[in-house]
Amino acid sequence: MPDRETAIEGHLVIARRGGLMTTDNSQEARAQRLTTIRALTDPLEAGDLAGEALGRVQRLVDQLDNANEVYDVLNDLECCLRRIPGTLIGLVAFLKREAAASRLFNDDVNPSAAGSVATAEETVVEARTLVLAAVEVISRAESAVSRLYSAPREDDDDED
Amino acid sequence: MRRKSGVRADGTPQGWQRRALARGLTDPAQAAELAVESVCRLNHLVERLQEAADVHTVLGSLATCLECMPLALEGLTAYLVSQQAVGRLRRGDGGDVLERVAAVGAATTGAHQAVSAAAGALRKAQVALSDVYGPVGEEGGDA
Repeated sequence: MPDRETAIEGHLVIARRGGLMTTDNSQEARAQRLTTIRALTDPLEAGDLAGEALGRVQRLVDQLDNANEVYDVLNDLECCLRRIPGTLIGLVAFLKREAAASRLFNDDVNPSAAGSVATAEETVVEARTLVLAAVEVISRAESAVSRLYSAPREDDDDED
Repeated sequence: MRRKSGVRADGTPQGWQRRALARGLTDPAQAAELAVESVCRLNHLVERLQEAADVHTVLGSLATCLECMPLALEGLTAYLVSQQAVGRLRRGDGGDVLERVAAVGAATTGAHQAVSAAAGALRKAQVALSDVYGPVGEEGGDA
């Protein structure tokens, strides 16, 4: 039995996708996925799963069925991108905190990790800026797609 | 002992189960939704980082995420172009469908460039951190 939050999110997804996910099986499978993700306590595992999931999107994108799905996937890609800057800030904060406390070291001749951390911070900040730019551009793509829809196929009419 | 970069649970049953969760999906929208939930979870868990190697690994995961996006974006645009070509696309406001498809194509091309460059920057950050280890406690062992 899904908890209240899962049930609410399920309804939201149904509303967003125009009732495409109303079967019990997809609801149950989705609830199971959410439960598994919420059980993760290690950021490395969550990151690994995110990479796997986006790799799956990349492989499955040729199986789209209608323009609404293009909108949904674009929207989800944008949501992913919107979260990434926050994560990057967290990563940099960890490095800076530990470097400031002189608890990070290099394998190099120079034992201090300060230079490496500064370089990493610089490139992470650059990545963050680029990700935010990508969010803005994908928002424009979403806006353009939102006006499009797929005409029903003839066999769709037969099913009705 | 310094932990080498990599996902700790890779070879464990939980690691395989986690990967199967994504690999078992056959619907691109469901896979995208799983990605959102995972990235949100990562965002929530980032406070639990323990070692510099964790940062290196998470940077790699985020770079992987970004590296997957260009092909996904290309696929989305290609789908719209193919649907437009067979006359299956409609525009809700009655305007020119082709103009909207072109706008999507232009936007996804811009996003493609930005996420590719962002992925490259994260890989550079990974390289910068590749020899960094710690935190090391006052006793001389890993904290």
